[in-house]
Amino acid sequence: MDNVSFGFDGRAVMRDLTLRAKPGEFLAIVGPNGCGKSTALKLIAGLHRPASGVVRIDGQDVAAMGRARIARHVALLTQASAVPPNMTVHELIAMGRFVHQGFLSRRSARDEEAIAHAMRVMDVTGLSHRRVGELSGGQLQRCRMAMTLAQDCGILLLDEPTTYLDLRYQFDILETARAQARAGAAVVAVLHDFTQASLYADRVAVMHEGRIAASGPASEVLTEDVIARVFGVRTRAVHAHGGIFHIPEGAVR
Amino acid sequence: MRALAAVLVLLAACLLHLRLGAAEIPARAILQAITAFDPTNYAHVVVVFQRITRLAVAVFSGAVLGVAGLLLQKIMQNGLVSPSTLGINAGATSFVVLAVYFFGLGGAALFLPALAGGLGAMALTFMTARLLAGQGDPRMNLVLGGAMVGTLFSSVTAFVVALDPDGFTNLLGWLIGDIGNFDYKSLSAMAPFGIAGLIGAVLLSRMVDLLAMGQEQAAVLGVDTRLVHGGALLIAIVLTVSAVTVVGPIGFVGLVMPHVARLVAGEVGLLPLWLCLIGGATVLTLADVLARVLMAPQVLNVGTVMGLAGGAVFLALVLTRARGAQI
Repeated sequence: MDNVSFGFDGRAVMRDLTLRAKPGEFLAIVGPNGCGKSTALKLIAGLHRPASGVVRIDGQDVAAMGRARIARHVALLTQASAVPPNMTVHELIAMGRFVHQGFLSRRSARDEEAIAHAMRVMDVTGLSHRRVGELSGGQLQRCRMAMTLAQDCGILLLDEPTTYLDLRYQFDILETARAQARAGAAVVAVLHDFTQASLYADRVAVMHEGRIAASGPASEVLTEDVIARVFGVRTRAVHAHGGIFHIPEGAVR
Repeated sequence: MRALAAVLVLLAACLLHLRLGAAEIPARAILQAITAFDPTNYAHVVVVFQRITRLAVAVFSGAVLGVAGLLLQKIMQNGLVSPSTLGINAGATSFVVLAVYFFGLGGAALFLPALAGGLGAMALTFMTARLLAGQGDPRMNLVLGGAMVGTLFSSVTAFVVALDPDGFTNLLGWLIGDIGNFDYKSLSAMAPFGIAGLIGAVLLSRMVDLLAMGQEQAAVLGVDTRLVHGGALLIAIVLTVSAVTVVGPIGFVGLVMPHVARLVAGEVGLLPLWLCLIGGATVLTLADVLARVLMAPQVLNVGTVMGLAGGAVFLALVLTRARGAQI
């Protein structure tokens, strides 16, 4: 996206934001609450129209694309959605195939294969016939991730995919996201854990008040200085085991 | 299997409907009336000109109201909305009464004012709910808005009727929701609208399934949410109005049937839609049987019976919901 500005009710959320994600790359966005992280993902997915600037997918202006065309390129795992509790897990994940089906045609063998594959990847095959209302929060999130994978898109957007999850499943989802990037997808994830971002992302963008405050490899971006400036917290950064750990020392005075 | 079972239940209800009434008519005579009609045979005349016509009206109205309720509940993700609780019924009714009073319209010509009333009531309900935005549960606000709009339009109806009580004596039954012996005439005019609406509902059903997960989620998955939401809403209103024009404002079918269908057939695919169609027809057919049998030889309004029975079911539904929420 280039120089994108956006606001709600006259309140600017995004100011001249420029952000690029490449195929095969895992880009993590971190930033304090209300800095516009989720809004950035929704702009890429065409759910909001920029007030100025352009969002492009494969060189095409998203504003000129219909919902179905966008959905063939971009899959977004939203923060929350109200899934009808009576729906089965298989039915939920099959929803991801909607855009690949004809107006009247039924699910094809290819659809079933994509659904089965997504269920294997997220380890939810055993839940296939369970009702969504019976699932734990973690199970539901893995099923929603499977639905997003079943959509089979070149661009994968994940909005806080690990929130409220048990630690094990947080890493499951991050590893899946990285595997998608390695397989050629452009993955953009909003994360709130610096360590996870440093461990899994190829590049980290720190957002602050609707702008990119810093962008680059985790080691250059997730510094004590940037964290203090953006989050208002003094930390001690420790590099270990290939990740960056920030140990908080207190609020910036 | 479940689809077939529903059809069998409907057929049984239809048979019951043809047999029972002020005078019971044996199944064999019903069959003869259909296969070898004898205009001098009193029972044959009753079956063909009173019961079959009533039955057709009941089946049609129940079916379209059931499907309208399902569409509304899905696109609004709200189990408490229906043609009656959103005020659509009341809006259509009062516009019909206005059209009768001011323009002397009658019969199928009432479809247009009824449609205008249904659309107007829906718009008012949305506006009222928007005024309440930010306070309380938005889904409850929509139902509250619908209740207010419904009351408003009911008062308009009562007011217009009071202007010319004698002129409206023929419409009094219709105002409560009633199947009359001559309703088959307006039925034949309304059936094309109803059937077109049902076909539209089938065509949109997969996209409506996605809308039931929320507009944002549906958009992400590739649904043109504005188009589908607007289309499904319009279809639901046309379906409702096509029934209201014939039988008047009958409630609860559209509210209760979607819940029954959900319990039996889940959330996705054509089966819930089919069950709402067949189930709605069955419920209204049985209500009409009760209307004719309970106080025989007097005939009650089917709207009264639906109100009593549906009110009880609705109360049970709300109580179980409330209890479920406490746990």
